[in-house]
Amino acid sequence: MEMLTYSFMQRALLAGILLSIASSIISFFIVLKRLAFIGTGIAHAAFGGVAVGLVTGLNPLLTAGITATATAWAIGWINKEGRLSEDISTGIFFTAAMALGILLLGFYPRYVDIFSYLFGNILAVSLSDLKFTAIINCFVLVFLAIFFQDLLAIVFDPETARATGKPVTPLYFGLLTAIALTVILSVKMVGIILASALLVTPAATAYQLARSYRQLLYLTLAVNFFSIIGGLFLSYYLNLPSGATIILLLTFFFLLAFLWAKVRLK
Amino acid sequence: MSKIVELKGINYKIGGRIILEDINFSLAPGEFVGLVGPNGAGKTTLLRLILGLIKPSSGKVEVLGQDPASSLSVRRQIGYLPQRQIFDVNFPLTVSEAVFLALPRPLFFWRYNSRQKEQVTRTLDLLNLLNLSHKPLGQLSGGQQQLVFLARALVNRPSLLLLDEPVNGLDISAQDHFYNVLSRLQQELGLTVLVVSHDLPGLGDYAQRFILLNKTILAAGSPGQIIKQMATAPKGVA
Repeated sequence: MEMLTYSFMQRALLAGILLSIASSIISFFIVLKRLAFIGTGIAHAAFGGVAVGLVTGLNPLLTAGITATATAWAIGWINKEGRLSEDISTGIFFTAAMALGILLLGFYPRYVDIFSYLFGNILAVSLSDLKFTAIINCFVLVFLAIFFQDLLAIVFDPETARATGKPVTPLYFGLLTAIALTVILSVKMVGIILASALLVTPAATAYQLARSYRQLLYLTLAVNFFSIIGGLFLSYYLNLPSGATIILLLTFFFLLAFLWAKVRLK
Repeated sequence: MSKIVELKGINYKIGGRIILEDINFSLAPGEFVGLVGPNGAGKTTLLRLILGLIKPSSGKVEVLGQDPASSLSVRRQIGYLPQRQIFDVNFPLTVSEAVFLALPRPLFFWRYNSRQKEQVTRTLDLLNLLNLSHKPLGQLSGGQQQLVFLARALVNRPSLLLLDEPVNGLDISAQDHFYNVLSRLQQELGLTVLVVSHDLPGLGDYAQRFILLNKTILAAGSPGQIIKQMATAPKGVA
């Protein structure tokens, strides 16, 4: 356990544990409500926000958070008011946010390490990043803990949920905001490109095996936790990029679950 | 309370298109009424008005003496079973979990109190579903699934139960079983029931009264009375 003696590794593990909790519950709802493309779209929209931060001198994670949240709301608003489904509005807004990012970076005179935002680096998490992660994690967790059953009722049957007086529209926008905030946590750890995997693959893996929603949530947490922590250990001892190792381990678990479910059904 | 539901002079339009015109009817406590009519007659729109999900272009909707669109407490006294859902059979939800979803939100996650747990157990028992309570919903037959959704509609012990085409897609024996259970519960719980259907004969043995709708109310009464009224009665009043 030599790796645990390094403070950067301790911070990375703590950040990984925090990230695994928030992204698991978000992943649970993304998979049940089939919002995978929204997760991917919001993650990519964060790129535009990073560029805004770099050009204006503001914290790029903060501006990425604002852009991701604004994109999530725009997707939800177009879906609610217009005739277009979520995947179409996602396709429009995330490409627009990325285009804005490219445009702004074109005006930026200095060299920018875009690679670190696209692929993240959990080993570079600072103490202030850790505090930021903990605060955002708390917000997301409190929201999801309080409204968990209402969100589940809406995901399963929005018509009946609305009829019984559940606040369907505010909760839908609340869920989109929670997705956007979790994306920002993931961007720092695994980068924009891989963040969407953390939002989709954990619950998709558990979905193969779960018979009840509680099983789904527990399995999602377990899969995510072991992938993030296992990925960190593997990347340290095999000298691999941490974000990519985490995601590939997650994908490995998904394939195992898929095969196991197929065998079980035979 | 003399009327559970009262609709007075209801008109509902989308754009310039008339969906419902001059609707007047009421439901007394404990009545079992069938709302029948062809596809596109406005039956589901009428249910949505009673549920308070939409507001009429003109006229007044009252449920338990209040406007359901602005009273959350009234909406919570309405049990609702929407048109038969086609859901992902792999959706990870057990029978009891599906019923719990209709309860008011617990403090956090699924920490329901013992009174709420007892409420779900009693409701499942009432519908003879207790032995299925831990079974995944997707593994049940269509008829069993509809009974689970009926349990979900009843778990808050509503005064009024609205059902939208509840037996669509079920075979004849499952339809009969569903209506038998509904009829028994209506009497045991003293429920006021409004069932939307396009199948008058199927409901014939169970409903006390029918309302025939095709954008406006064409006739009301027993099936025999409806046939008589079709020739003579003024439209719009039941």
